[in-house]
Amino acid sequence: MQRILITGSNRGIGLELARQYAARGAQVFATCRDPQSADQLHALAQAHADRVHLVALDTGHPESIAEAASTIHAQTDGLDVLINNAAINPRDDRLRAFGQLEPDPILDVLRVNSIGPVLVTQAFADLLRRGNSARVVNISSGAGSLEQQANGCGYTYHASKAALNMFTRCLAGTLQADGIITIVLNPGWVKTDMGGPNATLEAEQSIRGILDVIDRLTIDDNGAFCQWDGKRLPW
Amino acid sequence: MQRILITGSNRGIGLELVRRYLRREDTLIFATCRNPQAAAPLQALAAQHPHRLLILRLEVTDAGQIVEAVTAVRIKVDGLDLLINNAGTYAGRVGDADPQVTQFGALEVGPMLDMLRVNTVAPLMMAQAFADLLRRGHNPRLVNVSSDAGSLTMWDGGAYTYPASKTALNMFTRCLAHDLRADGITVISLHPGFIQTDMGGPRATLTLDEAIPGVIRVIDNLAPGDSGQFLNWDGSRVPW
Repeated sequence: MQRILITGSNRGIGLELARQYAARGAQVFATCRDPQSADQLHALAQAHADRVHLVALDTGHPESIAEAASTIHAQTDGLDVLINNAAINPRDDRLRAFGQLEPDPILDVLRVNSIGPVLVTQAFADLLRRGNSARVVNISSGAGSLEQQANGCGYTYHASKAALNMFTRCLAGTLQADGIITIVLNPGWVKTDMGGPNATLEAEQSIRGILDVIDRLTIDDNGAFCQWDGKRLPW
Repeated sequence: MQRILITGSNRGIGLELVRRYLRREDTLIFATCRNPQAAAPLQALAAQHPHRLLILRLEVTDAGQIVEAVTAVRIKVDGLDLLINNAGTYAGRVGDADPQVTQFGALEVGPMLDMLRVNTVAPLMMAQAFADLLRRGHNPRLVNVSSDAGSLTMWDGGAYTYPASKTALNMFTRCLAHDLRADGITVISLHPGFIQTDMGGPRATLTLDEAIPGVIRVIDNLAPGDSGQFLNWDGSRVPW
């Protein structure tokens, strides 16, 4: 049975990842900041009571990461897939409008979107080392592609994903010796709370593609910028 | 008269840029650093060139000090032609840096954020604060001193936070280039070379004398079409 840990799994891409992994019989550690209010995740856990576990994890806070790690260590002796999906993209001019940019709100986003995945990976590295062909998948975005931002960009979210891409390169280098494959993955523009109603992809379709990409990863993919449909993205 | 502001100019690349720009007769330089009292080489230069070199106290992560620096520059000039965001930190020397920012297993969010605050966010705040002066400059340029360590393509085992801070800075360069294009401001990220400084350490491959003339030549030759690019000290492009 595959053992999967997903952050930010209360809604959107994370929730659909939890659903599809649960549907194919995996054991899912579905984490989010506030499991109490994650109604859809509760429903999923009820439907798969023995295999879907809700765990509180705020990726912006080391204490919360440590607590979640200790909870999950008590329930499994290995992890096969870690999906760092949790991210924020607040609609706040202090993050995206030149003239109104402010350091602290910008750093709050970098803390969650860029550093959070690194610290979560660090906290679960020993479980991943004991996993079967373990994979670390950092959910990034086309917004993080420097190549693709010739016509303007929204500063903080874009920079947070570009930084995540570099952290992923570093993680891929570090974890390769343990047989762990690490990638960044663009899920596409998905109809979620973050993606909005104009998005071009249904979550179901994007996530089906993502699972397929993860299943097929080889060592040649280590450190790559992959997309939900199997394509590669330019840095 | 070219009016130039350089951050982190008390040592290393910043200090050498000040020295070399001073050799031109028609420059007015605002050299900033955290602690001017302790910047003896900079003070010596200012004593030689009292009318062309002004030293300003500036901790680039301090919003209040940025405002003070803008005010101090405005008293002297009504426009700025070149802003070089050079101040940066490696939290130690290359090959011997703080494990809390470089080493998987020891990484910690506080020190990592501190580095991003200096290397990534501060240059953006400087650009924002000096944008009005740059808009009134002659052929204005904004140069973010980055590093090929921040190149995702060239990555070869780099050490987490420093490379990520430069990759994120490069993204800000992309965003700034677009937003400032209409004002005629050319914005680039620049890799100055791996230079023997306090940060680069003795294993670095270039001396300041080798690299900085190249850096200045690249800046002199910038055209609007270069805006948003990541350039090497020899003028070639660094891949993202």
